[in-house]
Amino acid sequence: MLSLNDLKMHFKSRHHIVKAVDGVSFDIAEGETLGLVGESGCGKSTLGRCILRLYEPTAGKIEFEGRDITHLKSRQLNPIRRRMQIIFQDPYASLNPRMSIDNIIKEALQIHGLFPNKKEREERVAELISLVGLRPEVLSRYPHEFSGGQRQRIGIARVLAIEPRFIVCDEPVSALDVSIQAQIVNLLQDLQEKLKLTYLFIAHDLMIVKHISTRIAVMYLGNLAEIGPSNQIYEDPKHPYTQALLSAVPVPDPGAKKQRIKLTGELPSPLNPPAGCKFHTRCPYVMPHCKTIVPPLIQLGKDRKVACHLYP
Amino acid sequence: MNSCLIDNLSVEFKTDNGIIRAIDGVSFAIPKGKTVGLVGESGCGKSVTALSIMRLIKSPPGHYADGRIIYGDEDLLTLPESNMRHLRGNRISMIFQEPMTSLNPVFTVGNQIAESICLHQNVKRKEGLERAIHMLDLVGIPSSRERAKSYPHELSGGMRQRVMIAMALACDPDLLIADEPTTALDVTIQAQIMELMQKLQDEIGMSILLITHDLGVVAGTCSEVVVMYAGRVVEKADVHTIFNAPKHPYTVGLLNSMPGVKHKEKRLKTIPGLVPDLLHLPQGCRFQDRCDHVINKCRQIEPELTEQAPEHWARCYNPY
Repeated sequence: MLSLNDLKMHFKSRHHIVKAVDGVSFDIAEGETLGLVGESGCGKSTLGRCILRLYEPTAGKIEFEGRDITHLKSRQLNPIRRRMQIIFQDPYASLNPRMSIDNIIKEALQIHGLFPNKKEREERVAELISLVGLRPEVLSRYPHEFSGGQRQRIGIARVLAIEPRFIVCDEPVSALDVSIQAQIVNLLQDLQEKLKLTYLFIAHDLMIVKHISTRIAVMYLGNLAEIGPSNQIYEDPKHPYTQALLSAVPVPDPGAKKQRIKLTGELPSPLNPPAGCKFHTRCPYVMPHCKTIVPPLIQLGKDRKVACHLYP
Repeated sequence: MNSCLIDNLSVEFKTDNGIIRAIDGVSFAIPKGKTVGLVGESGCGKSVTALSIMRLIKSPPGHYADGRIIYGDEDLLTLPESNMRHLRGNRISMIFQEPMTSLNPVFTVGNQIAESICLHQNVKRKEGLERAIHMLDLVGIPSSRERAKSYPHELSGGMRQRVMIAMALACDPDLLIADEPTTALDVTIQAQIMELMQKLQDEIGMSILLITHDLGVVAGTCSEVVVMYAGRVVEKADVHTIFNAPKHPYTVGLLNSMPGVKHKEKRLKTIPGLVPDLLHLPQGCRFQDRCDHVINKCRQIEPELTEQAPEHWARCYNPY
């Protein structure tokens, strides 16, 4: 479905270059969910937006459904955008407060010239809103009248309006309460099954990512640290960063004995990333050559890859 | 021995559409040297409870309708404001969720910490600043002497939260109220901050009221748990009981809606529906419309908080 090859996204300011995404390659197969995790500032949202061509990548290649879309012009992109969409984190900021729900969803249909017949269009909007578990009566209302979970449902209805095949979910449940999170996660899974969708699921909540993803990619300062099937990553993390990240997840069991791998310090500034392996400043297993040589992403087992000098 | 006792506290707010009772008859104790977790979803009254203890509810629109907050042998709600100011930031401190909005952007962090020390401990400015630098060391900020000269915008989120903690702990409080102290932070930094708070608790023996919606954090740090729903305490017990034998259907629902750690279910269990509007509360139990254990009686009379097992309180007619 989607294939990234050495994708780079650098932001230039007058004095600095921020390498937000610095050479990321992976594939996403049709119907699967790839979870993308990492600390804030690691480049995961930038990567998601790059894939949708909301940014023009600095280098590398993005292939979507077999077609190179890396440098397409906006007119050529429009039909492709119908097939790939994004769900944003903040359901409060991503709906226009001055438009009724009805118009918010209709706008998406109009932009892509779908359902030109007024009656059919209205039927489609009603169908979409019930697909995401809301009653058609809500259509005449405005965004401020809804709770966070309901707004996220409306956002999902708008995305689904144009029948995308691939959806980037950028922290779709982070702003929601626990019980509402579960409702939205279930909705996303039901829709995936019903409509055969493919997801790139970006989140920092590792338990939610584990629950929803078939495979997981771990990012650190613009690079992949590790990628592989979800259960393997959680049961047997290879990269020291993945190990530390997982051991920091609070376990909802007061009897659990925790062996936390301590990471000292914080994510280094992406303005001035460390040389060699970018993780060496916080790594408990750091070796002398980690400070100079960048570890390549190597194959480890059938479908796992890791970028660390500890392997093979 | 309790550090603080909240007894039948009710707080009301005047709004354009009527009076809202944000918390209604809330009672619980914070034992000395222990951490109590206060959990619940947005709008359930957690933060109002916390602000009440600090007596920071703005009036109008809010006012304390009923109840007492016993600290030491005094009722904080009847204390004159001058005495309250002496306690606030000194014996009782608070850490807020969003460090960027609670630090003053035009003063260096060293000065901000020193301000509270000078105010409460009656020391000179220079000594206050020295103590502030010591506090920054204590919360694990590297090269604290230089960092004390930084402005809040020059620090990362994790660093700012450490500064907030340093400020809250500067006068060795015996009660710390932490309102979602790690919600805005990454898990790795969250783990560092929680560990730091526990270490400092062991060292200076303070009591902590930890307000959070993350049950994982609660399991790792609290000894008692109070669960709130729509302004009411619906269950309270020690942490093992809450996680292993919860009684109230809301607590059960909250625990079930978290993705499992070990086994993987296909679907997450959810609590259907939404939190009721405090202006239009249903007759009877406030959780009835979302409850899978609902019986007829729930729709008529609201249950009282009763002791269902020793030291295990729940507000339910038909508990698990």
